[in-house]
Amino acid sequence: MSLRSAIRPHSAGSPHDSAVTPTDAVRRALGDPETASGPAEPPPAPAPGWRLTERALRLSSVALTAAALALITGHAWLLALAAGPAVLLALGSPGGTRPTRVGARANVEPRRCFEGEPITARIDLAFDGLVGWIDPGIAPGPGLELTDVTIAGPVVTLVFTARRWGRWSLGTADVDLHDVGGLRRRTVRVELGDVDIYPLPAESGLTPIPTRLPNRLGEHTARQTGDGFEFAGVRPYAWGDRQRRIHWPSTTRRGEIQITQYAAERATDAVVLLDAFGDLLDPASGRSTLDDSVRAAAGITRAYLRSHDRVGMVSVGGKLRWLQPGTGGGYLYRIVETVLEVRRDLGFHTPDLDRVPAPALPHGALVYAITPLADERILDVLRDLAERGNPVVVVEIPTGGPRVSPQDDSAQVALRLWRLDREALRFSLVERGMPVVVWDGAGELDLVLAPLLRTGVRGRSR
Amino acid sequence: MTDVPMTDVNPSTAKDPATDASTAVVTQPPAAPPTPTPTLPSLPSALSTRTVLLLGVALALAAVNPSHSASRGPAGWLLLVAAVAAAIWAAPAVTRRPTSDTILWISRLIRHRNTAFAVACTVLAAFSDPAIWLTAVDAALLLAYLLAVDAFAAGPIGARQLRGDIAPLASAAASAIVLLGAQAPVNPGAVWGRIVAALAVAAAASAAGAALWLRQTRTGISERDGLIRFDWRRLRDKPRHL
Repeated sequence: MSLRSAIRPHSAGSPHDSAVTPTDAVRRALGDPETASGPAEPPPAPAPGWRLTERALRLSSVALTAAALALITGHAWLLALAAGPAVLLALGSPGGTRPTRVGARANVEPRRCFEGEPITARIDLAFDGLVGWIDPGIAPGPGLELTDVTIAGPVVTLVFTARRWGRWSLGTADVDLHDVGGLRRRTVRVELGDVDIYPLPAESGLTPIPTRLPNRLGEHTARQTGDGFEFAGVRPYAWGDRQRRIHWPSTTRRGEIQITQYAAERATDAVVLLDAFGDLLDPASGRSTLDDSVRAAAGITRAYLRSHDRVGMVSVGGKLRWLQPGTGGGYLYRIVETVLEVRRDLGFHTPDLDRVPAPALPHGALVYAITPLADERILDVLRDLAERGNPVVVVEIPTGGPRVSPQDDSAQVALRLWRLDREALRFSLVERGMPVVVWDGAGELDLVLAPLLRTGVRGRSR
Repeated sequence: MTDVPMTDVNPSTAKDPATDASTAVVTQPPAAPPTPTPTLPSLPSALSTRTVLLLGVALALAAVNPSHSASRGPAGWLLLVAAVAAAIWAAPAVTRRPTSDTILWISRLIRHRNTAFAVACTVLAAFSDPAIWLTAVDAALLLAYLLAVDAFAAGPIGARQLRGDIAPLASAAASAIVLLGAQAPVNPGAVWGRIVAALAVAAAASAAGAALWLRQTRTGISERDGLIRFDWRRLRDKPRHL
């Protein structure tokens, strides 16, 4: 996985959309169809040592039942029903070829990838003696889909597709080794370890800036004059000004020497505030607000890092996490890794931004609050941010309205009230100086951020 | 990288590394590619899941002795219908991978329904008082059903067994011989005769099994038979995970 592949645009639609038809081997490895679609609990530990297979149980049951009935009823012909299975059992005897020692080693490549990318787990089995059948059973971890199972000699190759970002366990493989006759089997359990699946960043290239930029060289045109390339105006000549900066049209018009002024070019600090108070599913599309929030955060982070700005991360909900602003191509990975585990520890206590150290939330940094606005606690956090004086942009991830029956008039009125309440909430945020943009996770993020380019984002002065 | 340490399954039969030739070869240097993939035997084209179902239905009908059941009136017809219904549910081969994720009896019955069906047919046949020709049909259908289910549910082992000539022929021959022997007249009052006959059959089966086992161990089995061997001789170093 390279940065080039990491920063490829996130196409419309989520990685959940691409359905793969499982093969027979995959279906058998997954076992129950119910476990194939969702995250599977690790199966109970397999019994140690060799044990009877279904085949041996079937043949021996029939043979023993027929023989016992022959003795009980006195019908000698029933022994003929026992003879066939008994011969099959005798022919299936492995003799001295059954392995006495078995071992397995798993090699997973890659351990880190983006959503939609394949992960290959190769299980090398080692045993003495002979094996008649290698039958793997897989319990894939959440966020992963088993797409292919290949058995070549003593090597089992499993191909997973990363479906959902997060730090997941790849799962457990129980590999059954059947002896030559298929009468006994032994299970070798192989833990496949953890994988980090990074979210696909949303497509974004625009970088709105606050009205006041820190005094650091960068690529954004500031309102202050400086040594950039953007024309900012003219002023009368002063002693020491360079001759090449004389603005001749103004000079001839006014009759005195005028000097061209250029805008300064500064870098900005951006902090992405991720609302991880909850993960809501859109009842209509099934989209997860947390998934879309993290994709938006990754997209915004990538856009600012491309502009050589400093980007930081604060996630609220569960454990309070932060990463102080930094720059560079590799910083995207650090930021994404910071939020990989937010899904695991969704909590219920209100975070205290005072616990965030000052370098993680610099004064004047542009804060992108990515939130579904579904939890009252995030409003307290936004209020706290506004009081600090940081310019804040609220990127709302819509949760989808409740579904009501068109025939139910009272429900229709309730839905209208709900929508008005949401509008009022957005209006109150705008009134506090926090512009609200809505991104539904499907379109391009640039389209919703573009209006912010018309003027700088103003923060509330202290 | 996750390693499962090599474990000795049967300590009593584990060989001394110093004296075991295969283990001694393991200590030689680096790893080589594993053995080539054995060609898995394919199922006969005539065998399908529908064939297994038809075999199961035929076996169930033969086991309940239709002519005898029909003469019993409504109860007999009900038994026939129940047998067919049970066959339709339980006869198709269960190809799901066996996992011990539940201890409920109903779940276990569903998982082992092929076994339960074959055993139930055996029990029904034992108490249906069939004619001589029907006993032969019962034996043939039961054997065919077991071989067909193995071909689907036992993976390449079952398919290989069905493709080969030894297993179907030997089991059919054994059933036929025992069936012929069972038709021999036995003195109705001699209880010891049955015991002696059962012991004789058991002894014959044991002898056949021992002979086959000896044949298997002497002639050896190779990858050409579709079996998988971890080739220790190609290893020049002991794998780290062992």
